Amino acid sequence: MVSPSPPVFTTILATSIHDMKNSLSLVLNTLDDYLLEHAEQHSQEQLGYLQYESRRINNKLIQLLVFYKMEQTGLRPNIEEYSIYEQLEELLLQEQSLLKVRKIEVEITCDEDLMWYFDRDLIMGVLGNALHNAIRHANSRLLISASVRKRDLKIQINDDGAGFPASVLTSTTTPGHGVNFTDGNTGLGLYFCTLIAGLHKHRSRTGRISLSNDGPLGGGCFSLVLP
Amino acid sequence: MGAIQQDMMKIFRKPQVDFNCKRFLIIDDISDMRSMFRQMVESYGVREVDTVANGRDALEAMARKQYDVVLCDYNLGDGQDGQQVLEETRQRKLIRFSTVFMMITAENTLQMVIGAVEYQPDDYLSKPFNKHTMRQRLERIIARKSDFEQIERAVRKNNLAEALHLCDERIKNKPRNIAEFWKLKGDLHLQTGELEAAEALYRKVLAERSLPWATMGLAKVFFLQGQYEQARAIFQEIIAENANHMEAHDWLAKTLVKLHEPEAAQAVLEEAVRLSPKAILRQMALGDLALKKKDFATAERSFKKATALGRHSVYKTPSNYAKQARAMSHTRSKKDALRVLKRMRQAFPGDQQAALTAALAEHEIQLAQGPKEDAERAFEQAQSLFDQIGTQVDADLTLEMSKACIRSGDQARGSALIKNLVWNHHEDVELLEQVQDAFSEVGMEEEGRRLISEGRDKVVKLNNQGVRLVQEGQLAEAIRLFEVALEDMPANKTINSNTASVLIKYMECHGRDDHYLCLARKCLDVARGDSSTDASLVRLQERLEKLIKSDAAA
Repeated sequence: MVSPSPPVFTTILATSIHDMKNSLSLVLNTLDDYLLEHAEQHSQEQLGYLQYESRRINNKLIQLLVFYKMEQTGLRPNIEEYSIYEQLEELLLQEQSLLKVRKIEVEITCDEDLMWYFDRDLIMGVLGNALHNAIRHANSRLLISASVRKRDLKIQINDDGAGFPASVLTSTTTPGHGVNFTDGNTGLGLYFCTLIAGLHKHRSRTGRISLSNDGPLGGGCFSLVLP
Repeated sequence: MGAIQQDMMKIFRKPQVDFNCKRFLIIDDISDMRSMFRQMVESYGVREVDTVANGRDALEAMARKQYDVVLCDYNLGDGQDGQQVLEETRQRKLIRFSTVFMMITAENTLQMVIGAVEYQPDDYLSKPFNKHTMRQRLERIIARKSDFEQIERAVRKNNLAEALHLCDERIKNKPRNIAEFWKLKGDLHLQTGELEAAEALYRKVLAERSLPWATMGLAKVFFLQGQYEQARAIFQEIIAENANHMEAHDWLAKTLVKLHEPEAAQAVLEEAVRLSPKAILRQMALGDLALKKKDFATAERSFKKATALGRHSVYKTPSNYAKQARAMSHTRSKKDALRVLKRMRQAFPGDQQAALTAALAEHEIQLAQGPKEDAERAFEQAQSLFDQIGTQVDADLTLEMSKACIRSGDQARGSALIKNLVWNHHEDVELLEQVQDAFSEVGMEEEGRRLISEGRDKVVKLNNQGVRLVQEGQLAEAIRLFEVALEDMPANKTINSNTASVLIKYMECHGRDDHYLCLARKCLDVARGDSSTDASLVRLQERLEKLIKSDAAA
């Protein structure tokens, strides 16, 4: 008989992450409610900041779990058909109160009938990450567009902020490259997005991410292409 | 391509569902979560919310009250998990089609959570989620369900032709979610056995885009057409693309069995079980496969898992225990095996078929290992139980009984039981294969073959006689012939269905007769059995209903 061995750290980590995710979800929900109720008050900005950082932690935890899964069991995307417009709506709903606090105007350009094929939870994670970043850097406007170009779906999130720093633009988006832990910025997040996009393949084409500063609003432009 | 520009407020469309009158049931073992859910849904305007902490209470609640939305956490502590609650809910039909069942999971554990493919929730929501997301998803699902309600109703009434027709109508309008209708149409074609139509549909979809459901559909068509090599290739491809595709594993295993590769089939099921250990049906399938190959170690493991999982499941069955005991009589001691049978009797108190299952299993074990007197005692117990239960004993148990008779030297009775089995199930290919295997096991292959073919011939002859009489217009004689036949083979679906058909025809000519009405109804019930997709039986039912409503004969 083999006595049960103590849990491996990675398992402990994964369990703790689930735990933290649950707590954070309660925090975020509470914050959301509070912000929506107290729309006119002075402490808006601070609470908005609280909310921004909490959701950022949440996004990181989600990414960690995905990395864990990839390493442990391999990650296979669960591809189903979804309405793009509905998914974008869902994204914005999640950031509703933050958008309100920051007084950011959002425009969506997307055919209501557009349907596409992807792993909903994973792609929402990617877009959620990108949107959250865009909100951080935006001045007052966001433009989200989705359309089919050359048989691929292209989703873009544009902000009217200062744009991406050069270091981020020049880092290659192949997994493992350009991840800079010292500046504490989007390195890992970008890696995560690239990884998820790359999991989506159709015929000979693969999903990919690109960043640029030549979007229509003059700020940063995050593009996700799905075959 | 239309462009829609909206400011932030307009993006969040006006709520389209009035949650005021929706009744919610929340199932979560953690009281903080229950409170959170309650607050959440009350913020949508819901006024009627019930919360329960476990599966048992949940099922009780659903049996007592009709809910519109059920939110169920997958992890429910001890006892049933969310998937098992869902399975029992659907099996017992405790919720309507329009009821939304949403499973809350800790992460994207979709593949791990999936049990039987038939029993899936309307959606999964992984934690943490936003309350707005939940609301939006609920609204979408409710809207989608109302979209399909008409079609679903037709399916439930077994009016598959109507369902297909409705699908076609919808498809003509080119709705946004046209693919969902294609998918449903494909399923319907498979159900009605229209394999060519199904194949054409799937190929058409696949020409556009390799969608997983269409690929699976095409592979199923190949399987059903008997093209096992082609089916195998596709299922393997699917698994290569998506290692967690449980349904593909199940079908690949079935295909490998048909290709006479039980080793490979077992390997596939073992992998599937490794990925999704809580799926009891799969454990049972693996166990059966292992038993057939006399891989008693694997069989023991699988049935042990099945009986453990079965404690809280609708799939709890005495045969799992019996098979576990049988396997254990080879891998462990007789005492251990008998202990399992004792547990079985405790798990099914007062259940005669369970007691019979136990007695037969004990007989087999004692014959192999124990003193003769114990074996004889078990056999006598089995016989008395069998006689008590009478004609209600199901086919598998009857087969076991006949095997026990033959092993005990009571050839005559064994053969008589087998003859009976064959008469009653002359078209059940799988059962007849099992019968043949049973005979081969005891070295009576030829005898087995003879019994089976004689039995089938008798039924076919009788049936043809009856059909001929009907064709010659001698309805009364046909009825008499079938009535006599039914005494020998009361469970035979073909005979029952033809009897009903003649009776109905007779009454349509000569007016209704209460005795015949009763008999016809009984025959149709037996003919239909558990499966309900036979279009001809549905038509007969309709004609019967009409007769019932008509005036009595002059």
